[in-house]
Formats: sequence, C-alpha cells, structure tokens
Amino acid sequence: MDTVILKKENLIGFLKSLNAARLIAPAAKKGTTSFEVIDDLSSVTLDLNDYMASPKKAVFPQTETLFAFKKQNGNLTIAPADRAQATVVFGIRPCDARSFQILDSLFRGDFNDPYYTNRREQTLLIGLACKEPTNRCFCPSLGGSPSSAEGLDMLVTDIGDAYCINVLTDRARSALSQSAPLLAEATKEQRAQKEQADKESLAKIRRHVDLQGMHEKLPRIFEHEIWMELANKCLGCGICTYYCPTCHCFDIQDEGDTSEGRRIRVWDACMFEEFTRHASGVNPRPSRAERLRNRVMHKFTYYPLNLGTIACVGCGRCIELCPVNEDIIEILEKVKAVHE
Amino acid sequence: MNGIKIVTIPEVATIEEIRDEIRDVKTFYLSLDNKEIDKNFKIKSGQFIMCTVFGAGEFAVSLPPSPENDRFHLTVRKVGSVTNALHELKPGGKLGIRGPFGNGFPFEEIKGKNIIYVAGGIGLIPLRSSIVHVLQHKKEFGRVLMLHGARTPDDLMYKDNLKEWQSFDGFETYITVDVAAPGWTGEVGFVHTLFDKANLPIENTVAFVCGPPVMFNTVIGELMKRGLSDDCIISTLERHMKCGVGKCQHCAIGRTLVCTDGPVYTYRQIKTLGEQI
Repeated sequence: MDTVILKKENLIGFLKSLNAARLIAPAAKKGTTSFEVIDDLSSVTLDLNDYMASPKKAVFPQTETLFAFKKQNGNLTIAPADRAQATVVFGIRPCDARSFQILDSLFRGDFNDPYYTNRREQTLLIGLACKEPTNRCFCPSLGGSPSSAEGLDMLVTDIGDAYCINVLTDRARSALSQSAPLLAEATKEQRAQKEQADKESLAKIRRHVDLQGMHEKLPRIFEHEIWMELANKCLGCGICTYYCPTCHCFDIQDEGDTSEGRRIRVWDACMFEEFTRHASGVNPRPSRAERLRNRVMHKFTYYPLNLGTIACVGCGRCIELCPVNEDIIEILEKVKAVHE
Repeated sequence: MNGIKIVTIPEVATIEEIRDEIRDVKTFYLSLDNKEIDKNFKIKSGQFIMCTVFGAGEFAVSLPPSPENDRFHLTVRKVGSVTNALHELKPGGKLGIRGPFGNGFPFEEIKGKNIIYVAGGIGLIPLRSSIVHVLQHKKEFGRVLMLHGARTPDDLMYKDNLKEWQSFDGFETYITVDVAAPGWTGEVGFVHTLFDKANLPIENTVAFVCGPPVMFNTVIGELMKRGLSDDCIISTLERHMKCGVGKCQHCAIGRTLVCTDGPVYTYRQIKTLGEQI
C-alpha cells in the first residue's frame, strides 16, 4: 500500500496514530502560521501561509546548546548536550525537503556534525505538495517541483475531498504501523486526481531562471563592478539568510562566567559585517558588495564545486522578504547579461 | 602517526607555566588533564587548535611546538576579548582544547631541499614548529636559513630560541629590526633587505613566509623576482574561525575553507582564492 487515501476529517487521528515523541507541524500562532512543536493536535493547520519559514530548525535549531561547563573546587566538568528526540515533521514543502538533502551534504560530509546528524536521523519528513505555488516560487529551475517527493518519507497531496499519501520509505512504512484503520488503498481514479493536482500546481509556477553555465560564469566576473551595483540597495539585514532553507552559516558563542556556563551554536549570516572580522579589527570581506558576491557565489559556484549541488531550492523566500526588493532571479539574470 | 582529534567538546587542559615573550604576547605551557588523551595528542607543524577560555569564548591559534620532543605550548597575543581573558589566567588555570585542525606544513615533501624561513614579528609563532622540527632532522635538508624581522629589538619573538638557533651548527640566521634601540648592534631595515647578504638559494628551495600583510607582499615580490616559483612559497593564513571542521563558513576565502583545506597554502594557491586573504 504505497499510495493511500486519508479522509480529511481523519487528519488529527492520523497524526495521533504516528505516535511521534515530538511533532513539528504548521500551526496558527500570533495571527499567522508557522512550524511549531505541537502539543495540541487541533492546532495543526494545512492552511500554510506564503511567508512561513522552513522547518530547518527541526534539524538545525536557531540556537542550540553544545555543552555546559561547571567549575567546582578547582575541577572543571563538561556536560554534553542532550540527545535528539524522535521527531515527525509534518507539512514540509517539497522545496524545503530538498533543502535538507543540501544541508546533509555539508553537515554529514567528511566529518559528521553529531548534533545535526543525530537530529536528522531521528526525523521523519512528511511533505505536503504545494497546491498554490506563490508568485515568487521557481523550484523547477532548481530541479524541483511543487509535488517533488525527493528527500521525503511521505508526500501528502490534497485531492479535494481527501488526502492522497505516497509512502516512500521503509521508515515511513513502520511509522504507519498504527495508522492502517484510517487509510485506504488509493483507487485508480484517486491516483489520477493526484496526477492532475500535480500538473495544475506545476502550471502555476510563474518564475524561471536558466542556470546553465552559472557556476563557471560567476568566477569569471568576480572583479566586475556589477557587485557594487547589486549591493547598492542591500541593507545587509540578513533576512534572506535567516529564511533561506539552505543557509547554514553559524556562530559559536559562550555564555555565562568563569564558574558556570554553556556553549551555544546560533544561526549567523555571511551578510553581516562582523562575520569575517578578525579580533584585530581587520576585515577581509569589508563591504556589502563583497558579502553579497560571497552569498551568491557560495550558493551557485562554491557549493556546486565543493559539494556537488547548488545551494538553492527556488523557494523564493529571499525575494518575498527582502525589504528593498533584492531579487535573486534578477541578480542571476544580470550576472548572465554581463559581457566578459 | 595518527593521534586523536578533539572535535566537538573541548578537553580540559591545565596551564603549567606562563612566560612573557614580548609586549602583549605570552607563552602558555599546557597539559591535558586526561593523561591518556594527552599522551595521544599528536600535532603536525602548521596545524592549529581551538582554545577555550571558559566563560569568555574560543579562539583559533597556531601551534608553535615541534611535533616531536617539545613541550606543548601556545603563544598568544592579547588582541580581543577572549585572548585578553586568557592573559588574565595564572598557572593552574583551566583551558579547553579542540583539535588539532588543518592540513599542516609539508615535511616529507620538502626533504632534501633548501629551506628559507622568513618571519615578520609574531609571524615567527606559526613557523616555530616547523623550524624546530626541521632542525631536529637537519641532515635531511639542504641549506636551512631563517630571516626574522621585528619592529624593534623588544619585539623579537622567542629570544631564548633565537640565541640557541644563532649558534646551531649549519642554521643560517639573520635578524633585523625596523628601528634600532640603544645597545642594538645588529641589522636595521626590513627583512627583505637581508636577502642579498644571505645569498638566498633559489634552486631546489622552499620558502616559508609569515608576517603582516605589508611585509608578506614585499617578501613574496622579492622572492619571486629572484626566481623562486610561486608553488615553492608557503604560508599559513589566518581567519576568524568558529567550528574548525568546515561547517560554519566563517573562514571561507572564496571556495576554500581555511580550517580544513588550510591553513597552509602555497602562494600559487593563494593567488587563485579570489577574495582578499
């Protein structure tokens, strides 16, 4: 039973049947919708808002403790952070699920980041196909689609009167061990409805960018004045990085005093002036032009060269949220238009 | 020999002794509290560690000791909040150590060659490890020279080592200061002005260069003018570092990450990094 049907009124019962130690799902909060740790299943909504951040924090929290230390009678003891809980992320968009794979290539890599890896291994991803892509979405340009199943354990598609669920991994099959009474094998007609829904949502994607040759072009125009032009209106606020599902720059800070404290890892952004500033005051990346160039090149040149994949999934949040309307597609088009 | 690598949670170390080097620079002799780990903690010349001052933070620092038969120590200039906190500590004080990280200087690859060390000011700190190591194996190398320049006689690093090295048989040492002081009888002038006097070897030669950017650029220019190829000039780069293991992106220079690809690069590599070093 790899394609099954869930009646819409059984959603809460379905979520309950997953028996997750921790469930992260979209919930109404402060007049909007965001991914939250769910205590009350009735707060879950699949009415996603256009701007909401990806559930990246499920595997890479905005702030996390790496260890705590305590000094007593001249002895210093270090207590490692708690292990991750088994987690189900429900309602993740297909683009964001792909971003987890991009983060995997970095955090797993040559040296497995134990904090990320532990969370990732404990996390089951249940995606929700996008029914209404926004006017800033461009996932097909990055190899995705509003109904992409890549990186997911299950994919849920709204087919009108019910949800069609594709069960994609063995982990998903075992997670569904208690859910059988709520699920029915999809009929031929329901499968066709799912296919139709996928086609319709894909047809709603309005923006596209051709990235052929991009990673080779960027280094060739490294010294070009276009970076100054592009950075002119950038405020360096970093919101593009905080909402980006693939951005992963982090800072490590110590809190406390000499007798007791903890080390935390917090999200950071290469758009910030302090990011590369040495203790001596020297800053090898001193202006916004260099920082914007680094961000674009990290995603479209360095990441592909070093880790084999572009670090962008075409979610378009950076376009939507930039306070001065920097638009990554326009930036890439301008780069393409530079005569060498 | 592969030693252990402390990656995420620092190992606690105790400061055994502190020596003043020059103004704002001290050397801290350490041992790791876990004796088993201390015994297996092996470094390569040119690698670095992340050093925690508990309650203040963590900083990246080069490793001056030789990988063989040398006391473990760090030499640190007081420059930011964490290194200031370090300088306040006394013998018996506790630190945290992660590492060693990075590629390290080539050692096997340069055997049989002439070696030139050019160090400006505290640029001698990251080179000390390699110098001591090469001197421990002096017979396996050609000519070995060190040219060290500092601002004033008071700014000369590792004065005890310098004295010892000046009388080391077959180690050609040249020391100069930018500005003399009463009683100084040695050379005056920037370090590259000693190149002719030292009769630098060029064929089958590798130069290690560390120092402030102005000195670095001048020295590289002079070495290349004399015919040294850019892949025979080796340096170690500094960056604001955080994770040490290639994840956080703080130390990125273009596509390279100094913490894992570096910190040791040839000048040929440095030229292609794109971004400012």
